[in-house]
Amino acid sequence: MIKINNLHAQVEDHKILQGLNLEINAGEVHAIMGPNGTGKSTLASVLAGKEDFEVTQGTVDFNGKDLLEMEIDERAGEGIFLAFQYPVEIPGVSNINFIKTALNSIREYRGLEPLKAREMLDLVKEKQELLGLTGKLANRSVNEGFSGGEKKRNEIFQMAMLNPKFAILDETDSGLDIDALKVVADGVNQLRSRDNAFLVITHYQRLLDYIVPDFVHVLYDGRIVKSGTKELALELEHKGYDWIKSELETV
Amino acid sequence: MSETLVDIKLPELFSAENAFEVSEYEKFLEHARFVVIPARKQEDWRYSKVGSLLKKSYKRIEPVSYELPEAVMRMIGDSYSVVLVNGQFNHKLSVIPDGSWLEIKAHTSVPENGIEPSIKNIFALYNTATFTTEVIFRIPEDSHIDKPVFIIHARQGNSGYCASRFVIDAAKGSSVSIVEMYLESSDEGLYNTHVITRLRESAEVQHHCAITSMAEEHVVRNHFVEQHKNSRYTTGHFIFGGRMIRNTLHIDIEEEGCETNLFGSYMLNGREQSDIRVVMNHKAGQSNSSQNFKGVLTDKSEGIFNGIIYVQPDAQRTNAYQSNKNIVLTDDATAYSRPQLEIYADDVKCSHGSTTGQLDQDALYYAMTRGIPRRDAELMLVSAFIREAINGIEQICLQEYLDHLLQKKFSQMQK
Repeated sequence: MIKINNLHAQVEDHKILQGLNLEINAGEVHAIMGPNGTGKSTLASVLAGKEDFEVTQGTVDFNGKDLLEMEIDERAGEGIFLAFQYPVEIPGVSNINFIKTALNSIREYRGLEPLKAREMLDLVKEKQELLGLTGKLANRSVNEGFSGGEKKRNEIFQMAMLNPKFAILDETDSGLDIDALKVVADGVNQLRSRDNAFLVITHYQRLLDYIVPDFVHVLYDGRIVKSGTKELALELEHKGYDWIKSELETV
Repeated sequence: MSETLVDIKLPELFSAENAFEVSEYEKFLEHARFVVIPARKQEDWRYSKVGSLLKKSYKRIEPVSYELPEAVMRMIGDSYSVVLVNGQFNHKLSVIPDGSWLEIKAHTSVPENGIEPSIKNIFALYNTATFTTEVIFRIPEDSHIDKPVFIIHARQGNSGYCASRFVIDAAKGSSVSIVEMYLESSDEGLYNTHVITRLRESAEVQHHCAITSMAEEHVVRNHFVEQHKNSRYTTGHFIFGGRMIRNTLHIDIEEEGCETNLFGSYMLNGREQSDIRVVMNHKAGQSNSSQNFKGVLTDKSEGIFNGIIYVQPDAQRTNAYQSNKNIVLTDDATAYSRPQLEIYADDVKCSHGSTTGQLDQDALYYAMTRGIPRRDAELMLVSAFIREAINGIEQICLQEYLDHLLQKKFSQMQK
């Protein structure tokens, strides 16, 4: 589905990603772990298309298309979704109108007719229930005045509505209590299928108890330095990142 | 013309030709001696592009047959309407209510109240000698006018001068709502509109005004409002273009218990300019006023907000609020924002604020990651910004119409 090859990215003169390679196939869930400041969120932003980051080298192939050449909204149209670590507040735009506009924009990109009001309503209802969201959030401005948990649930709600092929969850577990974590993880699990893939970025193994990954990667200094299965996450939790660092030094 | 009057040199714009009677023009000249001629060095006109306007010579033009645009007809629906073409009342296109509360008069020798000595504005003064039509609302005690009254300003012909005058007198306990609209035109010229409003005890007046896109047009509006005990005045001004649009809103709170809401927006591109001047004068206490004006500017356009709240010594327990926010989309566009307070009473609550910035880039990015194309995402953010002002209007049909104008204007701004 997505093939990242020798990706280098920087902000101004600050090099962050330095030759990252990663391949994710349909049906897989990958987790990326790693200490602070090693480029986890940068990877998410570069894939989503944030303009602050300059890609200096490397390629990203998404279902046969050059992802890096696409506008931000085109990437969404192709099926990329980023659940933000810090969801943005948009005063004056209702949550429901926002997601309706988003869904119909993506449908238009794919050459589909906009959803009829009735179909939209049913879909919203179904996905809200999935995330345990009440209708109350629908008429409030996007993320404005939402609690931390509501914001994260809203991200997953949007994901459920847009039904992406490839979703990146950027520290979706941060700031969530254990109950909210379960709700969010359940939501993700119900969306998992053979046709889509997930990249879960997290600091902690905890989330991976609920969203069980097929592969775990450790990002360090802008590169993937170690890959394994879900047991790697447990080992990291146990030994800490210094273990990886010292292992790298001996190499 | 008498000898004595020759010694005042007035700008070209204020020519005798537009006056209906020589005697009226002379009266105008007498008063004109005591008013300031707008110029950059005057604080009140500091940022205004009035200089080039003053050199124009716009003349009254006789209208020919005219049809209202469909969208406007639809909005008016079955409401009352007063259609003015080149300032002249068009009876055929208007829907006038039964009853005597609305009177429409062609220019007669002297305006009903004569030239008020208090008028210190040259445009308002010139209006009294040159207006083609006077529309008088006399809302009787405890009457509630059931439907809004639309006033449509349309023009035909280039370089025309259109002047009209409105007197709104809402008696005790009465209510009325008025919507003025200046229709789109590609011609240049000047609309000089003068509005005098008096709200008696417990009266309620809603008076909104939309100026649609007319890149070469000048509009100078002067609103003078007098509020008496427990009255409520709401006015929204929505500007979607114009070479120079100057709005002066002067509100005097004469007695206690009043409520005043002033709001509006301006969306400008090219070299358009909107200049909003507000004088909110609290002469009596126990009253609330709020001002909320929002601007979106691109290209080399200029948006000016120059508002002042006076709280006079007797106006204790006044609650006054003032806000002006601007989004400036390009480097060459300019927002001048001057919210001011002058408070002479000690037991008052007043606050004001002003912000000028760009579109929220994080919000734009966020919306685009959800698949919304940049242009649509920008429109979404701008609409949300302006909507805050539009939401102050009660009539849903007007809200929708303004929304439509907003979208149309913004797509021009994105070119």
